[in-house]
Amino acid sequence: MPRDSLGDVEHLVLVALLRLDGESYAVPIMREIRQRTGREVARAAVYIALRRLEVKALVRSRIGEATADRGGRPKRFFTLTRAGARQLSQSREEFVRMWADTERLLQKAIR
Amino acid sequence: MRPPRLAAWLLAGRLRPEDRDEILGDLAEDFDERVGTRGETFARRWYWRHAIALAWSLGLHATVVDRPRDRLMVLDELRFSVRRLVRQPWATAASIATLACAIGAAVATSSLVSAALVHPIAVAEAARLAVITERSRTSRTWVGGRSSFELPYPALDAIRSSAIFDEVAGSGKWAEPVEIRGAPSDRRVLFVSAGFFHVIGRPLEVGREFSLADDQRGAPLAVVLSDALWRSSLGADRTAIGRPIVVHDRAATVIGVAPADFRGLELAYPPEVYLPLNVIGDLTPPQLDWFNEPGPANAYGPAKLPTGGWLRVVGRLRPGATEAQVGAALAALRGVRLAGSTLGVADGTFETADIETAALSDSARTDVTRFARLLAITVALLLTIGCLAVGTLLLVRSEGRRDELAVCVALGASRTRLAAGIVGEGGLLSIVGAAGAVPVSWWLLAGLHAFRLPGGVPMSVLQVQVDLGTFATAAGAAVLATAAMAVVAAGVGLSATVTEALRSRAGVTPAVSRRRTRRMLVIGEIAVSLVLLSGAGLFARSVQRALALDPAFDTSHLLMANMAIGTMGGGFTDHDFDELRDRLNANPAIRSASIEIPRGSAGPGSRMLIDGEVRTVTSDASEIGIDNRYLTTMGLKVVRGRTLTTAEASVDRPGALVSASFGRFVGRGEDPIGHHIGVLNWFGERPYNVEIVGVVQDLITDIHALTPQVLYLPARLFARWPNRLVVIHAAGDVAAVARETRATVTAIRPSTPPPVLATLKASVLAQMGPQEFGATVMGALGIMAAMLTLFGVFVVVESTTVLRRRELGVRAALGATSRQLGALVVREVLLMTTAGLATGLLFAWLAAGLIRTFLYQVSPFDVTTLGVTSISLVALTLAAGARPALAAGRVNLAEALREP
Repeated sequence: MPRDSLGDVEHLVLVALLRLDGESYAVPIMREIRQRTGREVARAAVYIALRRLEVKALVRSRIGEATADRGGRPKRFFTLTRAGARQLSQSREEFVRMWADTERLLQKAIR
Repeated sequence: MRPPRLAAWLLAGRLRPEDRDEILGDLAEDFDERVGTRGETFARRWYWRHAIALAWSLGLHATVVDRPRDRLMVLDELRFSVRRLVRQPWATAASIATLACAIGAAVATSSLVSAALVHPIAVAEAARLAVITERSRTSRTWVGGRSSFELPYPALDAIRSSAIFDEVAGSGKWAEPVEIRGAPSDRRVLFVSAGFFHVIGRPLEVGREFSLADDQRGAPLAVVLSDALWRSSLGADRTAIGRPIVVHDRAATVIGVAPADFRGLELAYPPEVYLPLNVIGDLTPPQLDWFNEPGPANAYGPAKLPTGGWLRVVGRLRPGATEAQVGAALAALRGVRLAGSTLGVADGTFETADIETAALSDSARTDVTRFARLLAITVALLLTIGCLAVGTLLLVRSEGRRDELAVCVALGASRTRLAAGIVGEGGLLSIVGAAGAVPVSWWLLAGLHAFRLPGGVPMSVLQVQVDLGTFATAAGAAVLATAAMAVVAAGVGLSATVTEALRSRAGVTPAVSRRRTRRMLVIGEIAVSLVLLSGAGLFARSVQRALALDPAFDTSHLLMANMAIGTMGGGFTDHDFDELRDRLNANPAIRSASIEIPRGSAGPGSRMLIDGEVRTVTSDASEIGIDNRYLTTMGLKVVRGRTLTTAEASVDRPGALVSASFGRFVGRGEDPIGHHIGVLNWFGERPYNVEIVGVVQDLITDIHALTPQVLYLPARLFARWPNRLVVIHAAGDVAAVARETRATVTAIRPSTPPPVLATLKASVLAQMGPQEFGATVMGALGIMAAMLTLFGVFVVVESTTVLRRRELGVRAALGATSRQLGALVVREVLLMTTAGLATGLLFAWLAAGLIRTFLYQVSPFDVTTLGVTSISLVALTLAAGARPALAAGRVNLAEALREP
């Protein structure tokens, strides 16, 4: 299993993919991230993250059918792999552990 | 709706084939959605933005998205090019510096031409603004040589009431003493009618402009300052509006500041202060008739001095008005204008002129255009020499790599790729050179501020800025020319076969044909250097000739200052002038001082009463009122007759002196002594009939009047004339004398602005502004060209000598002496130089017509200038070839054979 920790955009892309029933393509992934976080992640960053995740075997891709609304060009669908789901889960646990009992400290720091 | 094709095509070229459909499809889908929600324009802009961002960002992440192989190769070649250039730092730096100077000079020149000729004045909708002019077939020389762009006062109301234009404004110029914060100074004033700034479409950003109430005779004085004066005198203080200042001893209030880039309607007259048009009569001498109200005439003419045409009338054309309609309406105005005018130009007609064209007089425009052409050619030559220098460098370098390149090709390297490397080198040099051109052009434009263009246009007022479009064009041209040179260099570098490369290891001297190209480049450089240096020399000779016009006079110690009596002179009286003369003459640092009354001059065609006969003068004839110290102060000698006696210097029986040239005119080549001249009196007094008692030497103060027609009369005849010229002959330090004179004026009358003193030499030099400018610019560029030529000669001769080492060694072994071997190199240098000089002389002959207009008493084929320049270039090229020649003389065959 790959042990590399996830980058910020990789993390967001994997969560977005999870929310989109584990399979989707770049346009809905970007839309999901934008709607959920309010962040406008650079389009190129999403493509680069998807390629990296594929290299790490955290997602796999397949070419879909060509459609007219895309100028006759096909979509590339990405599916979350089991390894990807495990990595995401682990990443979430790391974050949860890191964030445990920090609410008071955070509020104090903000004030 | 399809996404922008060009953007899609550009992006597609940057993507891997396997990614192309996915990414372009996603973008198209998002584009489609945005067309529906935000509209087509937004969507297209969005698409462009994202396509560019993707192309750029994906290109940077090569580890994830592979770069195409060819791009990798290009980047590698660029890296190698940088490495090769860094290995020869001096040659690289010289090439970059040349290109930077050449491109910078081209940008500065083009920006200057644009500011002086294309958009000389900052008005809004210039196409709808017209200057109303008068064309006359009869001579109007008595008005004082004013251009036809200026009309008499009644014309303004006549044009305004005719309803030809939407709006009409008038302006007239006159210098006035203005005191701000206790510092008085003569300022260039433009008197403008109410609403002037509105008519020209340049509303004031600070304060307000003149209203009808301000523009009345006798109205409280309101002032609009130029942006430059507001900044220099009031520190750009916005609260200065409403502040009191003093204009010509009268209290005035600052009501506004003119737009920063507005420099008046005439390039040669950038106003510093704006005043309402109708107050001009309140501030200027009462004898002047501005409004065509001559007053009761006496037997000798009008009681007041007519100002003639002084008003520049600007009209904003009605939308859709045709030229024919405006022409017909203006033709109908003729009678109206004449009814209110005393000028009596019976056959004058009104016409309209483009406001930007009218910013320069016809003659000045012609001269500036010619000068701009000369500058453009000079700069083009420098640009050529810059590209030639870079070309020489690339050629020598690629020749040096011929063997290596031949082996690379034999081993399977692509010729295109190898050529791309050489062209890349040229491209890199030119791009860095273009970047360096930005500070060079700024520096040049800042340096130009001290000069004047033909027509007396001070460059400082043009506010020339570096034009980005011009910069892009000049830089693009240089990059293309350098790339073309690099293609030639690549062709030479790749022309060798591997067999030749292997043979060259045996030390065979390269064929002559291979050296021909670089020789041609050096010959071109020598030719351009000759043209530029001799051009600079010719301009310098012109300035030298102008300064040597009065060989018998020491013009560097003759100081002059314009002053005036009465309100114009800050309250200075005739008595004050007498005191000033006495105090100055008592100063041991001053040899002599005199007060002259310059009565102005009558132009060619003016009539003069000589011995009761009306005669027409053929050139400018001036009258000067002189005191008894004048001749001593100026150092003028009486060459015939005698000077004025005390009785002749009086009003009762005045006598006169004439300049030698005027004496020849009066006496029709014979002795003028005893002849009588009628002198008109503008002030309504009786005319004088003066007798000529002496002839003095010609004194040239105007370089265009080499035969000055001057009538010297007793100053007492013109006591009521307002202008005075203080003339001082300094014994030693002129700067100290100028300071002391200013202090003396202030001590006599503190209200008088201290006068500005200039030497006669400086005023003659000021008339040679364009020549001085030409000498400086062409001299600087010529020196630069000569340095590059030396560099080119050295590189070519040195590299040839290295290539011929084995041949020279064999010659030495066969008995050739060092001198004979050195002579081989010197002969090559002399051949190139002679060919270069011959080509340069041909260019100089072709360019003679262009430079001739600006030369003063010097022929474009001045033998001395061309000879000195040619000999200097021969000496310089021989000096550049000295080291290779000495090296050739010391070649040892054994050492040469041992070299790899």
